[in-house]
Amino acid sequence: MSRLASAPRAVASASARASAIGLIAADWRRMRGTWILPLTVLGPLGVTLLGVILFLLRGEYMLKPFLAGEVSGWRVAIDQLGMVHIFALGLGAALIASMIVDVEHRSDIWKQLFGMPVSRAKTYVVKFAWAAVLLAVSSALMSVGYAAIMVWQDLGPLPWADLARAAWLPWVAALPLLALQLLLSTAIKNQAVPLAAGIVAPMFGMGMSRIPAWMPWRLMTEAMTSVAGGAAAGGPGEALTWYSQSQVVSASGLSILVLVTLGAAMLAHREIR
Amino acid sequence: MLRMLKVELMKMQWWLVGLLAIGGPALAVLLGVNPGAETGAEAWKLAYGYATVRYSWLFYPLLAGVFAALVCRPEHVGGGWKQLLALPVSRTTVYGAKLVTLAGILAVTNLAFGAVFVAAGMVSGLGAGVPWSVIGMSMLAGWVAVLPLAAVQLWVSSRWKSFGAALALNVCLTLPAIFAAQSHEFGPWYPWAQPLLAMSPFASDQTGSTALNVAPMTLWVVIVGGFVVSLIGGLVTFARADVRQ
Amino acid sequence: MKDHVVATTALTKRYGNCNVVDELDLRVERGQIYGFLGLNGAGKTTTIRMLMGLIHPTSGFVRLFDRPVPAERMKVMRRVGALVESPSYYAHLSGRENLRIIATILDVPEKRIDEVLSIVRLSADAGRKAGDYSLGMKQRLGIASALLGSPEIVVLDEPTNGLDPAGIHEIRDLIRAMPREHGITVLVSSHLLAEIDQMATSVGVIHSGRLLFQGPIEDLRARSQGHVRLEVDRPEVAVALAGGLPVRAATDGALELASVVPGDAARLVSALVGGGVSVYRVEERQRTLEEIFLELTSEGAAA
Repeated sequence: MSRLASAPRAVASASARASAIGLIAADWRRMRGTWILPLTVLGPLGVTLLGVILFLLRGEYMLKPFLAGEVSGWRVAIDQLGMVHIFALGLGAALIASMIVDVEHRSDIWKQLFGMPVSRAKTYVVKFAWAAVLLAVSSALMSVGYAAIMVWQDLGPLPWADLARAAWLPWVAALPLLALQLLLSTAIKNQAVPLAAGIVAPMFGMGMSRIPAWMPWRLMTEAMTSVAGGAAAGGPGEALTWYSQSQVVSASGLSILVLVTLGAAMLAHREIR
Repeated sequence: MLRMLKVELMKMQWWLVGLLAIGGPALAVLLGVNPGAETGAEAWKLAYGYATVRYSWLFYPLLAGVFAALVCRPEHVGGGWKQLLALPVSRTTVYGAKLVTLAGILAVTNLAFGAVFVAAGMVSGLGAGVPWSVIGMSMLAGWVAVLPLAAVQLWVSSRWKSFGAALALNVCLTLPAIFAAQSHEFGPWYPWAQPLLAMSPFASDQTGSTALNVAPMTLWVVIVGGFVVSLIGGLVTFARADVRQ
Repeated sequence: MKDHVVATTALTKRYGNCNVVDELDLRVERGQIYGFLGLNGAGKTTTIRMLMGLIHPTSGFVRLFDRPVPAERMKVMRRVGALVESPSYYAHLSGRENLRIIATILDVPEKRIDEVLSIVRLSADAGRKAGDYSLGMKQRLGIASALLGSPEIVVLDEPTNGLDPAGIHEIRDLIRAMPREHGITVLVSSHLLAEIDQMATSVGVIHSGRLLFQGPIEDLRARSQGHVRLEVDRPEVAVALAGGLPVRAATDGALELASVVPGDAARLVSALVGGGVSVYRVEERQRTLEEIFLELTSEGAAA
């Protein structure tokens, strides 16, 4: 019996492997023409513009400690924008996660999708991967924004290492939240619920010392503090225990593994009506 | 109009609205109140100031967007616009009923915030001397200040089917509020900063002014003016729109 | 002057460069079941949306009960019940709660909800969530909503779309009973000719936004005048032998005699046989409404 079944299974797995690339391409095609892609670019652009306005309005006051040689130019930029950066990243993760599955919910593409020979778990993982890539683009653009502001305000030579860390570390820390939001957005058809959760969630972690540091929003604060120079320098937020860079990465990795597996398993076992 | 209001109340998904309007502020307070050593009126005011910042900057305006989308959701989901607007009700009434419902939910949200704050303050031992007038004024001012952006969100939500798109706009406009509020020149003019400014218990000390914690100029031009403009804009758009879905 | 419940004058809706509805003059009289017939995308739904005041005409006018719409929409909509395209419903509410919402707006008593529920035979399922209904039940809920205000006319846009044969039959019976039992005028759209043929008393055929035919269903049927079809070995010779008879060669090589007078067929056959043409088969044919419809639409497309 098992020998009989093995041949078709081999065929199925071959076609499933082929369709993984197909899934990635299909998701890209579905995303074009939605608000997701503009949002990916507009988000960091908006935060950067905010920084520009800020320097225009209060530049003199903000630059005082830098001109006095008390802090680095990098600290001037990150201290002002770090907190908004975190919020934009977190809320952006909730929006991207919602929009990337909303198409499927609204036009009931799930049932069409799962009528085809594709693995549901793979579909889910591909969606998470796409959302993560989009968030990475946003994050990278954020660092470009920081660099632009530093050049414009003549804040000294560009600190390449810090800029790179500002691009990847908050992103890594935001991935568990993205995984959580994707789980909610996929599980619940009414997108009001996951998005409302995404909006309430910041209160669960931003500078809340009673929340464990590995929790998604809190982890992002940890990462940003690390980017801004660590506890010694005193970053945005008031968390009490600071995570090191490697702690952030491992906490994130573990959370992603758990949350994405959970989401994939949920989608695989769901009845599509 | 009264009948339409009743209909709006019948259609809402109350479990969700209730959870957000009461549970949300409760959470904001419970996580935001740090019991200090101080007690008495000044301690109350300080604790209140601390609790309002994140609530009035992010939570309340963003929630206004969520509620605006929720108020329009029943129609967007089941193709309800074409049925509703083919009935003998004017589009103005339909839109008006939705706006009043939205304003009502936002009032409840703010009241819940105040109530939970006072309760939490008492439990965590802030003692006697609850600054009722400060808190009451802050509730009222915050509610009035949130109405213009609620009107903008309703305008957008009545047009866009996607929850995400309407909220994305809301997030983009709300995040800058914290910076706008810090600026004396720009702050009074930015509608999304108004709840934050109006709800702070120290606002009247700074602006040194009027009934609703905000400078009269801001009140009339930005809040009332902004509300009227977005109300008319939303109404005209809604009345003229072709219902094709 | 006839009592027109619905009358449009040169009604036009333009999207981009395309006139989706083009100079439409629709006339629906009281007591009719007016079948609004056209292929998908012909402009039926757009027209109906303009009748309801849901979308605004690019030019032209709509009058319901001799009052202009949308200007006096509020005055007449109380007398109109509508099911526009796919049924609208609040998925999280039960069937009864859905109806109660409309009943509140129309200010009709709870008793009427029970009445319309029993008319569409949903009484037993009234407590279930509308989101869990089958398509047919949603469709019937939509019809119940349309009937709730005891309207003088109901407008039903593709009411049998997506239903199984039993459901179609049920809705057809319901529609046929409306003028008879409730004195309601019905405007029903469909892309299926057979369906309109079975319920309508009057028909309007729309194609590419233009009204190709409007009148009693009998007039449309009269166009289905029969003909006699002859299969012969040399059709080109046969046509020449026909003399004064209305004969033409059909595309498949057969002959068509556009007359069902018995003598005509006999004379043609004897002329053909006399001329050395072999006649293999003679049969009488009714043109189906489908053929008439195709003919109308191809005329419309050519014009």
